[in-house]
Amino acid sequence: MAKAPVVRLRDVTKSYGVGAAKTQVLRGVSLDVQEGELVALVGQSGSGKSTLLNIIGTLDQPDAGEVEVLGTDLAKASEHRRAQLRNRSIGFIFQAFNLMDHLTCLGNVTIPAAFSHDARDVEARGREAMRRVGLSDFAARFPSELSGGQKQRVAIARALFGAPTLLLCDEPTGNLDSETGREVIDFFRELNAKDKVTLLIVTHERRISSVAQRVIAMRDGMIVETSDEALSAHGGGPS
Amino acid sequence: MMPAKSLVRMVMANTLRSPRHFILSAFGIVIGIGAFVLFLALTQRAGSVLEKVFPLEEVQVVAPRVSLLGKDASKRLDDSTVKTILARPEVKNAIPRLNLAFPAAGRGDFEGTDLKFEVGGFADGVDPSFVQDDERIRTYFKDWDAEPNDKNRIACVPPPQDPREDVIQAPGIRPKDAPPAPAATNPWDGDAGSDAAGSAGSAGSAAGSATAGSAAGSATAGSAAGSASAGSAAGSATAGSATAGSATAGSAAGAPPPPPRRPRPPTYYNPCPEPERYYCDDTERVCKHRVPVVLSATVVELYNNQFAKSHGMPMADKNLVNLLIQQRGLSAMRFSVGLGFTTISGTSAVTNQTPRRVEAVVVGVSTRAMPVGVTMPIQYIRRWNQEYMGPEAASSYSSIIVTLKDRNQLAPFSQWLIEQGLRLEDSLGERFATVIFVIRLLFLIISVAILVIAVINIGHNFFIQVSERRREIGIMRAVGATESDVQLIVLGEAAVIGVVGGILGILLALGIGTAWNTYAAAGIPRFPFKPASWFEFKTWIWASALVFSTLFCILGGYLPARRAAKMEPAQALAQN
Repeated sequence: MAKAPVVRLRDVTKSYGVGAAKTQVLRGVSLDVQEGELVALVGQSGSGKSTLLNIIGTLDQPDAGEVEVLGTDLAKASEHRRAQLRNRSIGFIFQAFNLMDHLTCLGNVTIPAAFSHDARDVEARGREAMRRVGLSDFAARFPSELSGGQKQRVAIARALFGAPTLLLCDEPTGNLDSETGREVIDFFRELNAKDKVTLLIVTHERRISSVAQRVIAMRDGMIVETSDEALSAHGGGPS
Repeated sequence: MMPAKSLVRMVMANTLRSPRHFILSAFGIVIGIGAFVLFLALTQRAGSVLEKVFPLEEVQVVAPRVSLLGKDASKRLDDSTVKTILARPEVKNAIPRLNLAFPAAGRGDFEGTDLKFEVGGFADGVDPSFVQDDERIRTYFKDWDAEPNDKNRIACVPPPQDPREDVIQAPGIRPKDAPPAPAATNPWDGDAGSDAAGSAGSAGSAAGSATAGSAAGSATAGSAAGSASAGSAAGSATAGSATAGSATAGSAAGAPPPPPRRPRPPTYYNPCPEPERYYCDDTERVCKHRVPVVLSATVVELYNNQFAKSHGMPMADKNLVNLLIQQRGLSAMRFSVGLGFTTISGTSAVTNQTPRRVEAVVVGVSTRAMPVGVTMPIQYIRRWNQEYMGPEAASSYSSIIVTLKDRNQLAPFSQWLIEQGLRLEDSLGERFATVIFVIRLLFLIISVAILVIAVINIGHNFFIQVSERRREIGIMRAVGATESDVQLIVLGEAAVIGVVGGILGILLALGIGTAWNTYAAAGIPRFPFKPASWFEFKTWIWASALVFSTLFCILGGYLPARRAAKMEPAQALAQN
């Protein structure tokens, strides 16, 4: 029997605003993402990529349609269950890093532990996550003391702290220079290849598209193209 | 829900990193709680002072005053009335009070000052079981004349009478260095020998050492009396300079004029065993225990504020009375009572009985004493009223003190009294208590108004805070915080402001209270029942202030916390 997809969307719609100001952001999106996939979600601004990512990450709710993430039907899941998914199974990486300025790097990385009853080795796990992103010596620093690339790596370490099975990245290289961006992309590839983490990356970055196993293009709230061949076309992919 | 430890850590961290927000939010709470504590402590103290002035535990039942052609025709309160009241289901206890029904005058030495005062109308009696304020009162406040085998009740020679003084000072105890008395039972030496009647007559100038040796006749006698009232210490009643009596007492007793160089006569001292408590009774000529009396705090205050000042006499607060008794024994507070005498001229005609003198002693200050006057065991008053005014005066009570099982039953009891032709005595204390209650309510309203403004301020500050922390709230939600986690964090910060603001408010109140007490001690003139501290910071006031402070702050933070919790994380994170 085939394994259930990590993400399963059916006819998902979402709109913002009311009346004349109502904007339809998603128009019947259906999508499956299998375990261990690295999927790039591309499209112009306002095409609904980030909204789709937020709905998958339980940060937003659809108006209609079915959303199943890691075997959990989000429409039926309680608020507590959705928070539990975000805490233990889903990692987020944002374009704007979203670090807490008053906390140290280690404090930022371990912040998910504040909302979990699993208090084992919090600091050790935090330091291990920082080591993985190459910031072992930055544990006591504050975000204001870091470069953009370092901040994003702290954000990645935070996303990895709970050892998630699904990593949702919203324009992760958008605020980085090309060299740092390339390092981040390489890290994602490695994560996907070695740890079998499923990645769904919203991006404008052609290089990410080139390493993705699948590229999904969106326009006006709909999936307009799915390219399973993108990988071979661009000569990249997991090694 | 997130672990409590994480919640506390996060709340404390958030509080510490926003000192400006904290100060802005806590300011109103500090002021509000400060006012709350101060006002409550002030009214609490006012209530305590009031209870000292007007004991509120019991109610007094009296008969409405009715006069017919100038005669008192009021309903009688007697033993049957007491029994009827006791039979009521709401009544726990009923104790009669009996007023002294005829004139009496008191005279005593207080700290070297010769005091004369009216006792008739200012004395009553209650059952000793009702007066139990302290150990000394419990020991001495009883009917000593009813003691069956009092070994101290032995024959003695009483002090001499002074024809110019209705009531002489209560004689003192023989000092250790004084010359011994001629006979144990007859310390009164003088020219009158052992005949007390003779001595009373011959010792015409009894009071005052100035008489000694003066042979100047009546003029000397006058000066003698003067010196006595000028405050020669108790026991100055000198014996026997028959000089002054040459015109008056001398003729009464038929004593020969004294020789010109007669030696100074010995002083009369109390000859009784345990002279602290026993005196030689004029009439029975035996040693009897002094009549124990108690004073009210009101009397002491009246003395201090009205009397002591205007007469240049020493102050005597309640503690001083106890101190004097402790240091110098009971005899420091002894005085004589002239039954049938009066200091008010022309009012002694109510009784035809021969006046006589007894001695009394203040054994303490009691909440059960009549507010203005002296209170003694009812048995004494009953006997004296019987002796001087007849059986009706001995059995007609002035009031009945009723203790109810529950104060809430006062209304039905009061109604029943009216049906019986009786009523509750108008209680000034109840009226004052009502006034203080209203003042306390007013103060509480002011405090609550300040707190409500503080709560609105806190709500406003937290709305700003939540708005400023949108992104942070979004991050927390993204890493696993539930709506209730976010709400708890905001409410926790509000609670911290409440607890810290409450503590600071209490400290502010304590500081203001201490400053005011310091100022008032010297800056505000003494007045009756002026308290040493104007504020009574009871534990319940502190505790309720902390609880209120915390609850009000949580209330202020509730809506912002709810808004924070309901914030869509995706939208919160999008606004960067």
